[in-house]
Amino acid sequence: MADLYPHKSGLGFMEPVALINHNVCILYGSARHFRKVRYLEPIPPFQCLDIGGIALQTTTPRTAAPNLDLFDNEFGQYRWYPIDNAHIRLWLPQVDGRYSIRQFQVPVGMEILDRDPCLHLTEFFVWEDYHPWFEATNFMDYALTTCRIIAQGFRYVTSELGRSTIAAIEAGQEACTYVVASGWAGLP
Amino acid sequence: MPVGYLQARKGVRLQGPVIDVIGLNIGAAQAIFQQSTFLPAIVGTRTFRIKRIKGLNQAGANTLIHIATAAIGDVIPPLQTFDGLNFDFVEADLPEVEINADLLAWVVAATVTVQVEVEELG
Repeated sequence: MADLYPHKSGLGFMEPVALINHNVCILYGSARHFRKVRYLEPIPPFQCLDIGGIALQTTTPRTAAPNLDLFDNEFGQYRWYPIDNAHIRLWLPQVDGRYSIRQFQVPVGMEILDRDPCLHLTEFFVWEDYHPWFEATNFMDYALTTCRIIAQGFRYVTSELGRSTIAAIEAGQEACTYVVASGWAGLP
Repeated sequence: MPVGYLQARKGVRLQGPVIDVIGLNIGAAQAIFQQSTFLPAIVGTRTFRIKRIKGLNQAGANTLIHIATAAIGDVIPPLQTFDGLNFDFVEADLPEVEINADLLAWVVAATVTVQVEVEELG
């Protein structure tokens, strides 16, 4: 098994979370999708969303990012950063905030490039077309004319695993990488 | 670069608007960069350091420009500017003063047009 796992923090840039023929389990809400990777390709850094202008000291509505959608049976592994001076919160799906701790949903700002240059801790996964939503706050006393987000990562084409393989994975007899593709509000 | 060295604390580089400074005392000083203080969005206020001051003396005479905050007064020594000339003080010319308020400017003789670049931390 290759030495691959989510948010991998070795020195250097982004690595795929799985390779061709690896088993993965995509967790979306309470659903678990056991899949085998059939194909993967890199997605170079691109501007996936421009939330638009933001008045000073204002928060935007949650804005969908359908440019991060994938086809059926595919999932994406993305890292991202903003190139305008806002604090941006990630929601996946629209009602579940990512990077949440008890008192706080941690935003990502331009300073992420200094604090986490390889963006390990911004990593998130998208299952098919269940894309994320971004909410931006302009905390400055100056207006922003744009609020752009750059994303990069990998696209994976998968096929379903058979029941016997899933049973072997759950019994711990076969390797599988679990990836989380949604937020979680926590146990009640 | 050793940890703890001020320059290791990299921030976000921003610029203030172009301001025609006409205020002739600290009471009439004008904001050349306003601190980010939107507490619903950030934990505490953000501080910043001046990285560049660019300007043009249009006063008809050599004059001083004071860079200040309302509470402290001058945060760096006044800068001498020469009649009809641009001035451009860059990172190496400026002390590593960290500012925790709106940044103001006033002049001994009006008008001096000025713009600052800052690095915001927080």
